Formats: sequence, C-alpha cells, structure tokens
Amino acid sequence: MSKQHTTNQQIDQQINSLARDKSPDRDLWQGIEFAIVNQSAQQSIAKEPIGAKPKPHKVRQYLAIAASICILGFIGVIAIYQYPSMRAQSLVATLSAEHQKQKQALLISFKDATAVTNNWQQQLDDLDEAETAIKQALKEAPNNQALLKMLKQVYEQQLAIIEKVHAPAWQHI
Amino acid sequence: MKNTTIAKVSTALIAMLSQMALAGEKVDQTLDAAPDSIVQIEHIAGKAEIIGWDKPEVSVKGELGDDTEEFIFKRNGKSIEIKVEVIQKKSWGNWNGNKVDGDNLVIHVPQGSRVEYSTTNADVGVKNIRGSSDIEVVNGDINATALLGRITLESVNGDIRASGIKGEVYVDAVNGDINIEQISGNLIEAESVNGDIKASTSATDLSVETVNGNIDFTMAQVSSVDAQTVNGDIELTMSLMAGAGVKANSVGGKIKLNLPADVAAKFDLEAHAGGSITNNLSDDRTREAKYGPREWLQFTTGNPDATVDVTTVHGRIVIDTQ
Repeated sequence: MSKQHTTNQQIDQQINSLARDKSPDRDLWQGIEFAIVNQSAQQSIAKEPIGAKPKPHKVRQYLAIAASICILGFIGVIAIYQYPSMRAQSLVATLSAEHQKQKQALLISFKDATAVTNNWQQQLDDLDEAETAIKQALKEAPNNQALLKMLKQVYEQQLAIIEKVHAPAWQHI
Repeated sequence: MKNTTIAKVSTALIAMLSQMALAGEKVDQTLDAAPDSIVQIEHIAGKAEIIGWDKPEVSVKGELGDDTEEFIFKRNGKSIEIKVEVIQKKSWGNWNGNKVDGDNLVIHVPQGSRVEYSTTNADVGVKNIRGSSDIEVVNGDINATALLGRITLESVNGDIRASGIKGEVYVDAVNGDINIEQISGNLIEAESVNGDIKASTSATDLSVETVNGNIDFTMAQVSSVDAQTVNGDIELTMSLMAGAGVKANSVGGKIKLNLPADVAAKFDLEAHAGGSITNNLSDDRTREAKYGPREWLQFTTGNPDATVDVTTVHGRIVIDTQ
C-alpha cells in the first residue's frame, strides 16, 4: 500500500513536471472532422432506406441548394468576366466625378478674373463632346487603356484651358 | 486749407506733366551688362524687337506709347529690368486682336543672355539669343529666329513662328497657329487648342497635342513621339530609330502616318465607335468586332524593334509609305 502510494506520488510528480502546453505530434483536427462527417453519413443512411424516394420538401431543399449553387456560379462567372469591366466603369465614374469637382473649383476660383479669350467656353464644350464620345467607346471596350488615357487627357485639357485663359500671370502685367 | 488744395493741384499737375513728358517720348538708353545677363522685359502694348549682339551692353531704343506712366531701365547684378508702366493697366484692348497704342522698342542684349519677355498686346520678334528665351504674349504674334538653348514661346491669341531653332523647344498657343523649323536640338513640346501646329524638326523626341487644331510634323529619325488631338487631324512623316515608340490618338480627327516602306515595327491600330483603318504599308487587313463598331489591326513589318500604337474613337487612321 505504502509502495503503491509512493508510486502514485511519483507518477503525479512526473505528470506535474510535464509541459502543460505540449502539442500533439500531428494535427488531430483532420481525424475529428472525418469522424464527425462519417458519423453524419451513417446516420443519414440509417434514416433513409436505399432506393427510397426523397420527400417533396427534401426535393425542394435540393432544388433550392442546386439553384443557389447555380446562382452563385453564375455570379462567379459574371464576376470573373465582368469584374474588370465593373472596375473600369467604376474607375471612369470616379475619374469623371473627380474631374467635375476640380473643374467647378477652378471655375469658382477664377470667377472674378477676366478671361483673355472669348471662345474658351466653346472649347470646353468641344471637350465635353469628346468626353461623351470616349465614354461611349469605353462602354464597348471598358478596359481599353488608350481610351482611358484619352479620357484623362481630355479632362486635363479642360483644366489647362481654364487656367491658361484666366492665368494670374497675365493679370499681373 | 488753401495751402492743402494748392499742394494737391500742384502734385496733380507735376504728375500730369511728367506723364505728358513720357507719352510718345523717344527712348535711347544703354546699360553695361554681363555676357550672360538675365534680361527681363515687360510692357503692355505695341511692338518689340529683341536682338542678341556681341556687345556687353543692353540697349533700348524706340518710342514709348501714349499711355506710358513710367519707364524703368535698371541693372541689379546680372539682372537687367526693362519695364513700361502705363496709366490704365486695365485698358488691354479687346481679345480680338485690336491693339491699343503702345511702345515701339528695339532692344539689344548680349547674345548669351537669358531673355524673359512678357506682354499683353504686342507683337514681338526675338533673334540671335544663345542663352535661353522665355517669351509670353496674350494678344500678339511671336517671331523667333536663330535661338539656342531652352526656348519657351507662349501666345494665347497670336501666331508663333520659330525658325533656325537650335535647342529644346516648348511652344504653347490657345487660338494661334504655330510654325516651327528646328535645325538641331532634341526635345520639342507643342500644345494648342484651336491653332494648327506645323513643324519641320530634327528632334528625336516629340510631344504635341491640340484640341481642334491640326498637327503636321515632318521629322527625321524619331525615338519617342506622342501626338494627340481631339478633333484636329494629325499627319506625321518620319523614320523610326531602333527601339522607337510612336503613339498617336484622336477622338474624331484623322491620323496619317507616313513611314519608310522598309520600316521595321510592331503596329497596333484601333478604331472604336465608327472609325476606320487604312493600311497601305502591308497586306494585313483590319478585323472587326462581331458586335459593335470597333475595328483593329495588329501587324509587324521587318524585324520589328519599334512600336507604333494609334487609337481613334471615330476618326480615320491611315498608315502610308513616304
């Protein structure tokens, strides 16, 4: 008895001396997952005899799942093929919105300055028309780098015209 | 009170008399100057001729305009200032080219000078400057001859003519036409809104853009070309250096490239909403999109070591031989 007691004390000491955060030698989660899935499958088989027709509500569930998969797949396909397009359209919209803000800010800043040409607004209109044409072309070829560059250039030209014809340098002479 | 009134009247009379003395007055003044002077010239209206000479002097001769209030001609170190102040600065004339009465000046500067000139309603001629030239005009023409170094020529409503240019050129007009003859020098940058740009140049690097103006460039061998217009036409005649990159685009304008028959390059041509492509350089023909109005053409000639990228929205692209 006393010998066994001594042995138990030794075992306890050894257990206590073990590192408490010691990791298992391999990943146990795979086995646990396999066991859970296997158990569920066995339960399903046990509940529904082989060859039995699925119940209507189950059919609806399967159809719903299949439909969801189809929809997700469809969206995925659209996303794969259309995402760059959507991104390009978004880029164009952002570019346009940003340009409009800059243009308005510039026009406001020069509202009291005398313009040194009398046709600058017509030139801005010409560039507005060019913008419309480029955007229309971008709908057909949304990722076309040359068109995107042209759109950016048209915006830059509009700002440059506003600045040139109202340039403070001229006002100082 | 009486004394104050008399003083005010006297001051006004003196000011009036001094203005009358300056209005229409002849000018003939000279200052010693360094060979590499910085000469800053500013006046409102009239006409100016700026000529480089081999003397270490700056000379101003001519006649001041009727509205002259003060004529300033002074040196500070290497800087020399020539300025004509007028009574009413707001009377710039209108922007349709009608000039108000102004100065008629002939200014000689050392050839190595850096010349900075600005005016609102004057025509200016500048020649034989070897330092650098920075010429800015609102309403008036610029006529530049035999300039070296860095050259900047800007006119809002006037034409710009530059010949015998040897140096880097930046030219900018809004409504005026630009005509450049560049004998040597590398970079050339030209911009216009409504004016046409025509150039004969030895430059290997070119950047040119217009909104409604036409672009017509005759070049030797090019390394880098970037030409763009919205509604104008582009015509470029050139040979391509090894590794050259040529880019041209338009929204509605025609783009015509004239290249040697044996050019070796990779071509990428695109016409979008209703534009067209004509290839007279090879037998390659355009392809059209199954849906939509887009057409394109990609082909190579020789052993291609240069690229030619041309894009139009609804204009025409023509690739031709010289």
